[in-house]
Amino acid sequence: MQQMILLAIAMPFVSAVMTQLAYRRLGHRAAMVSVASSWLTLLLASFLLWRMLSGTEGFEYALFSGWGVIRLDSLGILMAVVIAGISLIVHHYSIRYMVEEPGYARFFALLDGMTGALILMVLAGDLITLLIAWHFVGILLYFLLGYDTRSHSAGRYAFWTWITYRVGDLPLLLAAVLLYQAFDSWTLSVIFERLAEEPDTQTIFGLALAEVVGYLVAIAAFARSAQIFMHTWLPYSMDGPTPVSALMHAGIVNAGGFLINRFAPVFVETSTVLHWVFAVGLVTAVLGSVLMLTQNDIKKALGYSTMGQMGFMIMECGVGAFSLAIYHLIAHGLFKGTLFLGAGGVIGMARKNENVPKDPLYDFVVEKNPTSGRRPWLMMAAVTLLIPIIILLFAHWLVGQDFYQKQGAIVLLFFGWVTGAQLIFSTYCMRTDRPGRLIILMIVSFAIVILGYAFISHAFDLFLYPDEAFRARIYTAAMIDMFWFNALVILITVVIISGWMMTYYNEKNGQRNGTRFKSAWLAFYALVSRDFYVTDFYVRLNRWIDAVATKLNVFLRWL
Amino acid sequence: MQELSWIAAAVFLPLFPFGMFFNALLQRVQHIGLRIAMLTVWPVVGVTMLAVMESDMPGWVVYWALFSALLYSFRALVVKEFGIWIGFIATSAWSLLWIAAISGVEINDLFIHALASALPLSLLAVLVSEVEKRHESSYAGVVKGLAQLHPRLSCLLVLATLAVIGSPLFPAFFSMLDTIVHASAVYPVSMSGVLLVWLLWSWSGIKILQDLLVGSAERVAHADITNGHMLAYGIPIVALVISGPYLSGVML
Repeated sequence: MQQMILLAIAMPFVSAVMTQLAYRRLGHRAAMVSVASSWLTLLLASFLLWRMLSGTEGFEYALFSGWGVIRLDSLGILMAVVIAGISLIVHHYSIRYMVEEPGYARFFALLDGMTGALILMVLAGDLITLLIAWHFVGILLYFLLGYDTRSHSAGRYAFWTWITYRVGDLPLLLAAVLLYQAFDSWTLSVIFERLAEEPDTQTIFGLALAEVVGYLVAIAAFARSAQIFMHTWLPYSMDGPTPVSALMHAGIVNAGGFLINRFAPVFVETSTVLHWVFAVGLVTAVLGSVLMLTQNDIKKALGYSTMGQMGFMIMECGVGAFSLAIYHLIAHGLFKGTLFLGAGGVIGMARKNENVPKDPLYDFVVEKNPTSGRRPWLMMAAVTLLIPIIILLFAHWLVGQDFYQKQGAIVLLFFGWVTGAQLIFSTYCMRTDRPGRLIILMIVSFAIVILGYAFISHAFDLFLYPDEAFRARIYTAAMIDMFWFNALVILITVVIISGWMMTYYNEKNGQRNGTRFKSAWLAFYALVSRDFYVTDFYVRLNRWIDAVATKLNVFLRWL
Repeated sequence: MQELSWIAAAVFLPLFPFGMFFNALLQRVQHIGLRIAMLTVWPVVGVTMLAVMESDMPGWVVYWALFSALLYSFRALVVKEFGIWIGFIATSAWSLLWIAAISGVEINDLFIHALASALPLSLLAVLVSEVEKRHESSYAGVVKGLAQLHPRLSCLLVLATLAVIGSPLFPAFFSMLDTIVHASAVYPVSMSGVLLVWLLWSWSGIKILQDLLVGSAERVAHADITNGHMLAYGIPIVALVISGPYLSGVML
């Protein structure tokens, strides 16, 4: 087993060197070395996952003294399989996609290096190895995004990514040093064990260690997963090659969710950190989705969509649904990877054919042509509000009868409720000639998705956190005062119900596109179209820093 | 006599404004052999002086050293001339040796810390001289599109710069980590300052590299470095990568 893990980590790095060396002799066929290694890595990782699923206990071992610890556990190996799988798809896609680009071998070498660094990151069993892999990912991503060395814009946006990642590296490093100071070990298992024994351990300035480390790890996760104010690099990184966008959005950007899960034993000892994690995730999810809706570039829209999804993932961590965040990041990785790999083809098609073919789907979705039929608005509003919540409650009850005792589960129910309601409202707006059939189909689809989501996330919960007491502790760490929670639940329920009733009423009376708030909407649109001026602020700040540094240099005569 | 020793140490492990001596000298020295000698020997002399000094170092030197390191790394952000950038980063890195020394790093380990920054800087100086041979300058922005013109030289420049700015697995990474571990125990406030210095190195390093490497190549006046040179310069880089994890066992 140990050799297999080592091979799974080393294989991509070896392949990176081999591909580069073989290029002179084999030309473009050298990419096959890289693809073969990707297959082998995936097979090895899958085998190890299968062993874990079959009941093999996780373990760790050190390559050399002090650090270099490799940790095989359910979280690490699951993530390794996802990374290897997505990397393999990206490799295959790149064989033809990148064939006319200069530096073909360099691209595959960097891709292999990135795969290796990511696998090392998820299997790292000590803080130094984790830091090294974490840092490597940032370096390799910079070179992948700036792959086209002729393009100044690609270089500029790669630099934005680099600097954001470096800003995010430092809190993790600080957290690592504080943990080492407190427990005199770099090994994660030792640290977590000692922290569980002494949860009130203090660190610098008499602060609670778990709390400080929790905040630092969360900040590192925010930078990596493009949370608000640290998100500007993500949508602009589209200047990199499409396969890199796919790998980044499907794998690399998810590292924040992984990191929070890796440090779960620290987070269970915290009292306020997860509340902030929830708040940041929520704001990012909402703003990311709003920004996505205003884009007219398909790749940028996908970029902002990733930001929104990362917000949801971080928010799930914030409510204590750690394993759900892992399920989310895997699901998101798969669909976003597919969308990115398809985006290039769609853009190519659109350039060739300016006119979108007007088939029945176009008539239905874009022109909203198909005739008349609509159900009464009041009945539809009731269906919209009741059906999703019934399905959600039933699905959650099936997997755990005590789900209502977990605040996190209730919060996520609300999101599911709004999503389901939005789905049915969209159906209502479509004006099909057989509305009943369409609505039933939509409800059945929703029920299947929700049941699948509930069962799979429950399976993830059992696989990643088999200890029931630990699972409960994660939820407890994310809980807030019961009085305020109940008050918020009532408030949000009232807002959702009255909001949907008003929406249906306005839709029925043709007031949906009213002009009452037109100027406010336009002002808001202007704000959104400028990305809330966050990017402008950073550019100004950068120029100011450069100006100060230049003045200093001139004053000190460049000595 | 003791005061003179202190001043000499502040020149060789440059504290502001004494770092100006080193930078003025480095800018005037054009011979690459002398540059390498300067970059390698300078901090070693400084550490030796620290070793022979008898009195304890006062705690406030930590903040003076931190200010010097921050100042030079901040100034490096806008430097376009690669030679000057090397001088600024060297000044910044060697100031941090004071923090390491005062925070309790053993004197023998301090030599390793000094060399962890000095050797990559020397290698980078050699590579920059190769750029200067070809373009009569290493001014980023005036010389541009180097990745297109000289891919092999560019590759080495990238690796050497990564080594200088403390990327893993190069020795400077472990040296910085060790400095932070020691500083966190004695001067926790300085820890965030050291991290900021590290961030500024990364920022300025990638910025100057980008100005030099990115862009369309307008003309090919000189050939890239030969395979032999590539090997000759590549071996020290591989040695640095191997020595990093090895030295981590000594330092951490």
